[in-house]
Amino acid sequence: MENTDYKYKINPNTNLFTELNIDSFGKLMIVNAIEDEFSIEVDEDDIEKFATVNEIIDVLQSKYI
Amino acid sequence: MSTKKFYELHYLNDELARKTGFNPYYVNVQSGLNDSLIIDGKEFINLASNNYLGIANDERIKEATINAINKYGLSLCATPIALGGTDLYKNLTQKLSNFVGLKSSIIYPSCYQANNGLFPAIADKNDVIIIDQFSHSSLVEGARTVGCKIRPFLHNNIDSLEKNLKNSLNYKQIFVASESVFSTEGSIAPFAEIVELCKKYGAIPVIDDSHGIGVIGKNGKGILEHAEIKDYQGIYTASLGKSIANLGGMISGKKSLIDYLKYYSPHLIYSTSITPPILAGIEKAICIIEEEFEALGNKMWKYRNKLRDALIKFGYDVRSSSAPITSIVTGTSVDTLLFAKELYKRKILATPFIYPSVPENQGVIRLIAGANLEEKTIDRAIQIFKEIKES
Repeated sequence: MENTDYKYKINPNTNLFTELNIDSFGKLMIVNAIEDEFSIEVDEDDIEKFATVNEIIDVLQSKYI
Repeated sequence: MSTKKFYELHYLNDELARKTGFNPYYVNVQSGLNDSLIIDGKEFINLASNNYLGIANDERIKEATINAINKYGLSLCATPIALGGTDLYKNLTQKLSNFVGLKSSIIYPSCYQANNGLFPAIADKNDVIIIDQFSHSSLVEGARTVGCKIRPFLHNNIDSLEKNLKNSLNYKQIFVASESVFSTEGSIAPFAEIVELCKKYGAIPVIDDSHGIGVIGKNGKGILEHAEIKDYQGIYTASLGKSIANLGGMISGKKSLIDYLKYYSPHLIYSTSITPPILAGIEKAICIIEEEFEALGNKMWKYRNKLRDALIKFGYDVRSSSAPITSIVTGTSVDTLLFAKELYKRKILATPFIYPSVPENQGVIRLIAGANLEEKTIDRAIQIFKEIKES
């Protein structure tokens, strides 16, 4: 059964790191999941720009998808 | 950059210690690991060491160490590839290999160095290292040094591991790295399943058994015995400074790989060899574990269960654990240090883990009750935890 008892709510402007306390490995897991989903490889410089969901979408749309 | 600017960049921010009025790190210990620990002249109950089997102050280990000093002196003042390797080193590497059930071993000055040096010697940028998200800093930093793809998988989650393996098949070499016993909480990796997945996807498993060797398995031989893994084809590392009660770190595996590392691992060949008295101490510790694990292990588990059951009964939030490690969830860094301070005031030394050692706001106080403690000491510790809860 899917776990819906989430501790945090995420909206497009939620800062994944300062608000959700996602660490560097958490960030890598997000990036890896995106790369797997879209069959892309994200540059390290672009990964540095990721902070909110909106920023991830912006970078992906402008350069990768 | 000016010198002034440099030193303005690199300084210790002690805000947390000032806020809590307590710094639990680098305590001034003035005794060995007997039943009581002496800190600043006062007796403490020691629940902070990794002295699982309680043999760190064993007379037989001390005697073996002193005998080695008398024969070899304190050091051969050389790297192992030069004349730093003694007959003690050769015999011990074989003994360690036999103990964990592998063919060949090498000994680094620490397990941090062993883990840190392993990946740079065997991996390059065309490879991928899939690693449990809670793996020890030594494995993580070693993996990062390579500059290859790193894929963390969810802690002890086989589905997450397999998903990562499926998406890693284009890399030249695939490594899967994990700790056996995760030391902040005491969870144990499902290593038999990890090894099976590695076989399925052509990956090399790397297991750090630092908190497993001398602790888990029917005879204390660590994760391979615990998980009933025969003919292990991967790489094994372990600290010799925890249950083995000495210093150093081992890497074990197939003889061909160990022979390669002997000549291609800079962390080994450019470090001064671990010294003869330490080698003799490790050898004696292994002998004691081989002969006395049943009694020592029973005591270790008895104390762990007694302490853990009492804490749960008193209402502490205790992490689920499969190892002789009991961790109380304390939350923020401030709350964690304040709880450690309360314990310290009442003469219990415990290990607080705060960010970045653990994720933000997921601090814990770790308790390890070594078999060197007397049962009345465990009872006294339990009474103190009860008093804190009731205060």
